[in-house]
Amino acid sequence: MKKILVVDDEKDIVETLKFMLEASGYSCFCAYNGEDGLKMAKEIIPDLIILDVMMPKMNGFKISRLLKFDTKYRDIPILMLTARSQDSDKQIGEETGANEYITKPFEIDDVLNRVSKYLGN
Amino acid sequence: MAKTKILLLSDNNDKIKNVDELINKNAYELYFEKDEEDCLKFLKDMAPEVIIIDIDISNTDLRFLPKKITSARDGIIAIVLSKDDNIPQEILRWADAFLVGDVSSKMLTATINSNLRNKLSYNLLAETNKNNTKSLYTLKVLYNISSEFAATLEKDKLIELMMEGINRSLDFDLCYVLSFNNDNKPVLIVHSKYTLSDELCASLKDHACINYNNLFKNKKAPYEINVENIIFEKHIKSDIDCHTFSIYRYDNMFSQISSGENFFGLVEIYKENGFTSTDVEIFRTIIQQVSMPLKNAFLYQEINETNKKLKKLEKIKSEFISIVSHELRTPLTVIKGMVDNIKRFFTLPEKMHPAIDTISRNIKRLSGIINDLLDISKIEAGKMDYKFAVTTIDDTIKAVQSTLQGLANDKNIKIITDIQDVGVKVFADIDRVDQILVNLVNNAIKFTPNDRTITISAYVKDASELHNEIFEDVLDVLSGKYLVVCVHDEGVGIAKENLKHVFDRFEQIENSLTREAGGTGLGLSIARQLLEAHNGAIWCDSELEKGSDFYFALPVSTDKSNFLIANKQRINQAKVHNDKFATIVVSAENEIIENLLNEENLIHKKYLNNSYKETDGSTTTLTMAILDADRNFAKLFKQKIDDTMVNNKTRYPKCDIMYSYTIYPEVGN
Repeated sequence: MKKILVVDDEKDIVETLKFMLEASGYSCFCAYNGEDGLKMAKEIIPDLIILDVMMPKMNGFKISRLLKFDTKYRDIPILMLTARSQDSDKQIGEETGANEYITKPFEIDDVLNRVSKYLGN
Repeated sequence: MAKTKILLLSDNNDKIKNVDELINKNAYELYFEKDEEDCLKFLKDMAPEVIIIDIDISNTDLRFLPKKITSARDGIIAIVLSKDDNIPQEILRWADAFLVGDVSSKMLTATINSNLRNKLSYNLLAETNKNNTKSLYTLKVLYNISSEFAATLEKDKLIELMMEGINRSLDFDLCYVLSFNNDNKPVLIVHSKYTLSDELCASLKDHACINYNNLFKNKKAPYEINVENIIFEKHIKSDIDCHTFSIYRYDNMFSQISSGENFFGLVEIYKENGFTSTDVEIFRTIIQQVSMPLKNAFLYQEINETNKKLKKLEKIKSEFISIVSHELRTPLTVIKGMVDNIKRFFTLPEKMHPAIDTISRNIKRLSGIINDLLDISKIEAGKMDYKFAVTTIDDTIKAVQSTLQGLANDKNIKIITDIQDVGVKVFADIDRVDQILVNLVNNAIKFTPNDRTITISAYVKDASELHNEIFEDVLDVLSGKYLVVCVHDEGVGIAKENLKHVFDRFEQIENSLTREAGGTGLGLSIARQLLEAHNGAIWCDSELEKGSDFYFALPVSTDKSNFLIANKQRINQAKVHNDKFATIVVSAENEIIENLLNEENLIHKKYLNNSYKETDGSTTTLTMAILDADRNFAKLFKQKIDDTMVNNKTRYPKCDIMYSYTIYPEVGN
């Protein structure tokens, strides 16, 4: 079963994504702040990471950058979650190596489509 | 009347006797001295008006006599008696009259009289002249203050100027002003010729308080004051003496400084030896002249404060909307995600479908509202980032048509596109154009009954061909060519009287019809503001029951229009982020501009990144926006151009250019 790590400080959003991902047949791991997220990413080495931008302790951009510059983890696809209004996030997200960029509120079909794009069905 | 005193200087007894006989005793009193020393003493002690000098006197050096007499009694009339024309130079230059040879009574009297009259006239003239000079000075002072009054809007500065005016045009022993500073605290400013005793200082405070309270005996005073909270300020001219309570016995003038209902303070002025009527006039004039600008200053201060409050409120509102929208977004994401999860991963009983669909629809609506609110708060805070590029919007029109056809299918509405001018380039943020068009077509779908048609057409028009009675002001400011997009529907239409306001913020919330159809009513207001940023326009035309036409126009891409749009964005950014830049305009004969552009190291390529050239007949105007440039840069740049032209007379036979610049962010923002 493909492993997906979801990192977001909003527990209910993590819950929503987890529900959706598990119902679609993925194994889901959750972290609720940036530091834990980075630690878990290195321990679990998931097949894909869904990452929120605005988080306490360490923001999504930093995690993405740290992972993408490390040869051990650079191939893990990263989907960034951000608020629609923060247009400039998209640009920074691309610079930090995120593979996809998803705005909140998201369509679950959209999220699932993008996940399967990287992981297959 | 006292007789005119005449002194005769002579050591010749015959001459003394002779003159004594000749002098008219009714008008004159004759004295005589025989030697120089006694004569000088007499001049000092008795102050005669006339001196008659016998230059045949012995023991006197006539060359030094004029100086000695003048220093003993300045301005005396000197008449010289001489037996012949042999008179020393010094005497000739100095004396007022000469009587040579034998002198008759009439001659002597006439000489004395005419000289006395001359002197009288001279004195009168001098006096008048002195008065004129003084009046002139006073007038000048008054004029200066009144022009300074007009130049300032600060209350404190005006009071200070008033004091200066009184100081310069009136002679006084003590003058005080009781006024109120910006915090409405009473301030007592005292100007005094001499130092003040502590007791007098304390007493002046009391005195000013009493005067103030007397002014408002039967009505409420504009400010509460008591002796303790008065701020005391004194200016002393000289410490050779000290003023005491006797000052209150001096002549004084008092006035309140007010204009209509506004009270600004009071002023009192003291002088030991009394004021003249001119002084009173000057005092009144100064007080009168300061009242009007004080009132202006007062109003200006009020406006300023209101403005500040409004700006703060506007900011709070903007921040509030932004924070609330962000906060709303998270729970909304969760609700939406979970509802979608339920719909996707569970098979719900048929009966539950309408309920779930209603929830979904309303989530979408709420999400739209939040996005609109965020857009509005961003636009208003000047934080909207536009990604302008030269582009066509044909694909956007087609994409909007095909996306929204899906929604329109529910009502069996057909959306057709009619792009009459294909591939027209505009300078726009394509995502924003998409947003505007989606909004207009969405509205059209909402308000159009089933089975009708919506048409999106696009064509190029010159600004002069665009007419609309109601939106005249919107269209009047346009010039040049525009790409016009029209969304035509066959819907319910809008009443003429409401047309004007459809682009106002929250307008549709007031409108029950649109409430049924949903939406915040912010969409059209956002569209209008997005188009403003594009130097475009939005307007509409409608007839009840027949349908509506919503138009928007984007300037067709030219160097100039693109520059103006980008510059608008730059100015906005400068305001928000304090980014510095300057726009510099150089205008000259075509050839001169071409040559300047070809100069090495003058107009750098990077200056031309944001620029445009406009040629009108034989004149070319080059406009550049130069990032990070400040006032100094603009001045130096001008200097460089001037130097280049002066140093290359062959290429630039005449140095005829127009140069102007604007620095951003503009001062005051």
